Amino acid sequence: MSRESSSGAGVRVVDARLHLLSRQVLDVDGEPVTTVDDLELVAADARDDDAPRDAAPGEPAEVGAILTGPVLVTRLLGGRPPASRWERVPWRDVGHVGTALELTVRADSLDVHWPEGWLREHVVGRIPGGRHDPEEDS
Amino acid sequence: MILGDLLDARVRGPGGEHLGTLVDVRLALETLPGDDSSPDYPDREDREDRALSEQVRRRDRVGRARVVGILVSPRSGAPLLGYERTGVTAPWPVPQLVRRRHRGTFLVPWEDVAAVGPGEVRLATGYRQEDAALP
Repeated sequence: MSRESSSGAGVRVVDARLHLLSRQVLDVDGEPVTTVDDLELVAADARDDDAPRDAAPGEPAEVGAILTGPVLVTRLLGGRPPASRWERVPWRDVGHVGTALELTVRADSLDVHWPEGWLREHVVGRIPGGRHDPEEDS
Repeated sequence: MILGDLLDARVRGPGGEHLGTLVDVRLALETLPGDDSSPDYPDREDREDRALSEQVRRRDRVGRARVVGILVSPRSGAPLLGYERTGVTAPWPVPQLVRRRHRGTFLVPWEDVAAVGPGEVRLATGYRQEDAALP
């Protein structure tokens, strides 16, 4: 903690469940992206690697990514979604943590909305007029 | 490891004795200076709102989020709702009841966690019990 203090940056202590879980995630334009369903913990020394190492008990750990996924069923019935169903938002893209988490990137650059993008391309885009942006002229 | 695997896990001491339930994970957010977009909140004098306003309304740019430790509640696995750690007294009697339910809650530094298994966390020999109050 003193390391951050000496470099001019501060430290703010939060509790994950109280301050982060279920909070809304906004992109850099303030558009809602998702909510924080879970957090991925990784080893603190592997941040810049392509494949961050999983956090080990007792060794320095940090939040690697915000996870979002189909958690409604597992919250009611227990368990958790398989790893393949999680969508990840890297923690390095988080800018502010307040009543909501604000990202420093646009929602389009994330994979979180791939079903929406797929539907836009393959379904809505094929409907006559579906490629017209109604807000373009205003 | 994901946070959901830790939350609500049973916490056991080095000898296997039951210590309580893991109710939360404490993180230290690195805050980076040099953000000019901090809005000025005119209602900051409203001290009744202090619990949220002090911790959550800040606009500091955050960096890495380091894991500090785990919060262990010996009596209840129910969520703390924030009352345990902020000194809030209203609305009576909710904070009083929640705090009574969670009395004895302590913080164990992450270095003192020895093993994490399915639904169970084991602490290392000589683990420390620190005050759970949120600074």
